[in-house]
Amino acid sequence: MTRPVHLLLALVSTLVSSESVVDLYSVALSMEGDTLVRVMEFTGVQGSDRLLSRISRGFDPSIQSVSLETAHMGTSSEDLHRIPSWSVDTLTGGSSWRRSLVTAFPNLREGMAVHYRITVRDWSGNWSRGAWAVLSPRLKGIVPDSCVFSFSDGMMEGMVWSGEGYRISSRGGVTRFTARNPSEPLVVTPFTDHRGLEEFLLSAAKSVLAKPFPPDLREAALQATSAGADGYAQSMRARTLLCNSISPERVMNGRRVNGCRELQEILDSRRATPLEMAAVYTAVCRELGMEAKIIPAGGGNFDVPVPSDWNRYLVRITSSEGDSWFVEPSAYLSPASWIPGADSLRIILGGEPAEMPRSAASVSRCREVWRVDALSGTFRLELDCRGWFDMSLRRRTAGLSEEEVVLSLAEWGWLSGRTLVPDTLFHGDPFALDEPMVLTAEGRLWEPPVTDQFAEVLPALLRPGADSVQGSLERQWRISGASRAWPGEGAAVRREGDLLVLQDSSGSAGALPVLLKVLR
Amino acid sequence: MPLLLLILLSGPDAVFIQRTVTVDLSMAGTGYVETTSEMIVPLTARGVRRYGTMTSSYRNGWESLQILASVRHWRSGRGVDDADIREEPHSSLLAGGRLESSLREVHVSFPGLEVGDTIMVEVTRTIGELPLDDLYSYTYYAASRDSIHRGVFRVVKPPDRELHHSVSGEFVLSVSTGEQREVLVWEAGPQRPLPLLPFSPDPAALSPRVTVASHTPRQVSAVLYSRLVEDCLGHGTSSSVHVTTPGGDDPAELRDWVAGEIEYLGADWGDYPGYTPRTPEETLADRAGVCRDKALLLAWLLDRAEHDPVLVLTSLSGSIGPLPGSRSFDHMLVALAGPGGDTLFLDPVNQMAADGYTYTLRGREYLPLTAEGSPTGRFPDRGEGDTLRIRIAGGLDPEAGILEGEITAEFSGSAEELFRYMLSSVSADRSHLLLQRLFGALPSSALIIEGDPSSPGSSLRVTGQGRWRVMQVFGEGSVTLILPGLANIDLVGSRASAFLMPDFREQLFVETPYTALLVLRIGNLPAGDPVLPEPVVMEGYGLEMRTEGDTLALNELLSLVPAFPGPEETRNIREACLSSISAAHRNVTFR
Repeated sequence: MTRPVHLLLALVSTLVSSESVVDLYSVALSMEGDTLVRVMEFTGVQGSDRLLSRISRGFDPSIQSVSLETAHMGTSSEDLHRIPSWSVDTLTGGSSWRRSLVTAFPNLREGMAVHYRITVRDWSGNWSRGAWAVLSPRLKGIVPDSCVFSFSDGMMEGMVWSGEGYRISSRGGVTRFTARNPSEPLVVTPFTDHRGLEEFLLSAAKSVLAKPFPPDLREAALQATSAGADGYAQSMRARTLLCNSISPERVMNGRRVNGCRELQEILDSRRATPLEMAAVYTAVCRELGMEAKIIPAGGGNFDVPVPSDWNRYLVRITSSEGDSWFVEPSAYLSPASWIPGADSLRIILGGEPAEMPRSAASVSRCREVWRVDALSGTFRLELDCRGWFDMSLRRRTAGLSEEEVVLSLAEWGWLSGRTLVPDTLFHGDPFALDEPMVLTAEGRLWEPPVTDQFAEVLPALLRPGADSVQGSLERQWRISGASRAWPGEGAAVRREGDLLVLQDSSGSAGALPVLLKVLR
Repeated sequence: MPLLLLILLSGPDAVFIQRTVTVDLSMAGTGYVETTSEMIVPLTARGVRRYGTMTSSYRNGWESLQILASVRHWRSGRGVDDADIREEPHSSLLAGGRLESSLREVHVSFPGLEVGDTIMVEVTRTIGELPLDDLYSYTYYAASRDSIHRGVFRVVKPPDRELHHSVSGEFVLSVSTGEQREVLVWEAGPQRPLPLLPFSPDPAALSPRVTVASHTPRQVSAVLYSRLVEDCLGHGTSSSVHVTTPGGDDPAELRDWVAGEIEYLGADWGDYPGYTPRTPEETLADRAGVCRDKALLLAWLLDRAEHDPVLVLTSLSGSIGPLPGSRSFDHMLVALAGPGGDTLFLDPVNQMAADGYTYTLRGREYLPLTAEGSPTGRFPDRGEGDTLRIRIAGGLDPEAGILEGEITAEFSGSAEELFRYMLSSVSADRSHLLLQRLFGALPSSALIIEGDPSSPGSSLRVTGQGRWRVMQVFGEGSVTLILPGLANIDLVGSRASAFLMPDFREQLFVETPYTALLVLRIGNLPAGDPVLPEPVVMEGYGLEMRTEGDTLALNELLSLVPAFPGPEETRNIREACLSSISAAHRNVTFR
């Protein structure tokens, strides 16, 4: 099918319902030295959604292996046969995994049964303090009728766990968690408090930062001093410099969660994980004479401390004057001072879980001004954004050619319910993180009117997700060539010299109908 | 044109200082060697991203790749770095349902690449043998997404070896002949970048190009007939195979049976995975296969039903060009002689296509496989019958500013294929959400699909009770309604309009060309005599409003055709789209 179809479907995407059934889903974990062994198995029945036709298991071949032990299908669970050998292959793992073991059940029709079992060996180094896991009770979105998670050979000794609806039992050194139609994951961890977890997450980075810094790093620090003597300004410049010279390393599943290469190695490769970026940034700030500490952030909403989802790393900087602020060095295409989702972000501060302190840097606002000429139907748009709105605009424009940005703005208008025709466009550099993001565009909205009074729709740019952002959006239409304007609901009109100024007082009304009387 | 001037004028993201392709056909017994040498300087951050990692693909089994790549940094002290080279199964396989890890992808990454650095990359592809048979073809493209300062295509061959070639665009040809080998060199001057944008023609179709090939299309047709039809169908299938197809002997129903009952799934089958089809026996046994397997099975079933099928090779991803070889095709269909000398095409994979082949193939070449050999043909482009018809009849709720009424949407041609594809891609319990989006209806609407969108034999309509916003503004003693138009009700067409209207480019590609017709009948109008706008009549667009008793009638037409409009057609399309988004044409005022 063609490109537009996929794009259209992406825009109107809906979830496919789950009619396939998984009767029993089990995961058995054991340790072999420093290798965690997981045996994953399920039996199920194919539904009309055909969800069980393909089962993929992602892995990273440098630190994991996957072996398929059982892949059977048949008209019923008593009449199973092995799938043909050609229907199993190791492919790339998409955006989340390096590789994927793909098992296809050819021509698996509705009502047919499946039995699947694999063993995954993992020597990633993630288990140095003991095995931990967040075991999801879902398989391809299907909630199993019955779920069994087991841990062998006394693995649960000294461990803590959480998970609603699980029954625990032990026999012969094997601990079993069972549940029927479970809704929550089972979380198992050797970390009894966040201090231990913080030490684990930062151990490699601390070791790297304890060594002498490479000369290249001093050069970066020197460039940051071009921002002046103010520590805050220097830290913002340093953030921009690093963001423009080091690309974010794609964080794949299954990787070592606390891995951090030497600083010189990171600088040479020009690629970094969030933790590595935080380590480089910390080193630069220390070179600039500021106190800097890496702060783990993120974390799933779990009752026990587990490394999963602590995948963001902030740096807390304290200047020589004692002022303190946070920076997220790996935040992609965000204003230098902005920390995405700071309102609800959890951090580990001094060994304790904490909410992010509020700061002025987290303010979001946007001024969207449309200068519209009623007689010609032309417009000039001026966007001035801060915080979340700035980030949103950077991400919309970064990496696009000028022509692509024009088309992107046209599509944005269409998605907002009022198509517009951008002819010329200028925008700030989305990669200059220490400068506010601006965009101006000129173009056409409607044909020159043939009557003196007509109703039209004034444009607005809607931003999905903006409703949950703490901040302000001011939208204004400044209309020339009209003597009177009667706007639809949600807007007020006033005169400023020759202009009629319509203000969207709510900031969320979107495209605005207006009756205009033009000046001939 | 001097390089600097070219860069200043065209604003590319990178410049190819040099791009040379050498095809060596002179080494008897070792197959073919294709060497691409490129020297690239990224000029922008986009250029760094585009060329920071480059990929080449190959089939493990009958060809190999050797890659030499490095980057020379402009910054003093950084010197030259070798590229990181990593190989893995091709990234398209996972999503495409193809378990063919013999298709490999080599990633070449340039560490620490910066704007102004110089990338040097040489890729040598050694082809031990070509899939299916020794049918060689190569097309050299002189232009790309970025500027090319100097492009050279060199072919080395024994003097007595026959080689066919086809040239499109400006090249300078020089030939030098020795005793052992003859060298043909096509040289192209500086080339501007060709944009890769939505609703733009494929840059490959616009680029100057040279194709060389060992055989003519007729010869390729005859040889592939032997390999694909005679070898796979002639002897392979025993008469003991019993197939129960509900369609009996009807070609369309046999096609539907193959498309529906044989799962689309590929694997590393045969000597040339992806090229060699399996026999009908094998495909039936596994109830799985890719287009070639399915096409061959369909041809076999048609043959048994005493039809006279012809297998047809084509490419969905681009043109097969004037001189195809055995690597030039990625799709196979079946053709039958139809009434009146027409050809009836049967696609064993795509059931949605109303013509038997997807509208994206219209005007493209195909190669019929026949014993005596056939020239390439082109899929017909009727240029008409691609229509979306929407009719809404209902009443206005002036308090809420809502039009509530019955909708009927009917489709034909490309519109039918597109909507069938989209509507069959979601589960039945969620389809109402898709319909609301596609027809601009408010969330409380109850639109339904009549018919089975995935079954071409089932007629398709969208009906139901819908609600649409009617904007209204109050002036001095009057209320003006802005009635919803195609800009609000036809999501597919209005999205296309948004992309087509900006006029910075001369050439357009209308990805789904169709004409949309909207008929609105609205009752329960506000009191008073309505003041209606003048009708709009122009090339490709029309809008007329009138009263019919107590009812207000709106008829609107927007034609986004043809797929590849000429300059005047492009201008007309843009003007038509601008009219369609001008709400003043849809005003009605009550005093």
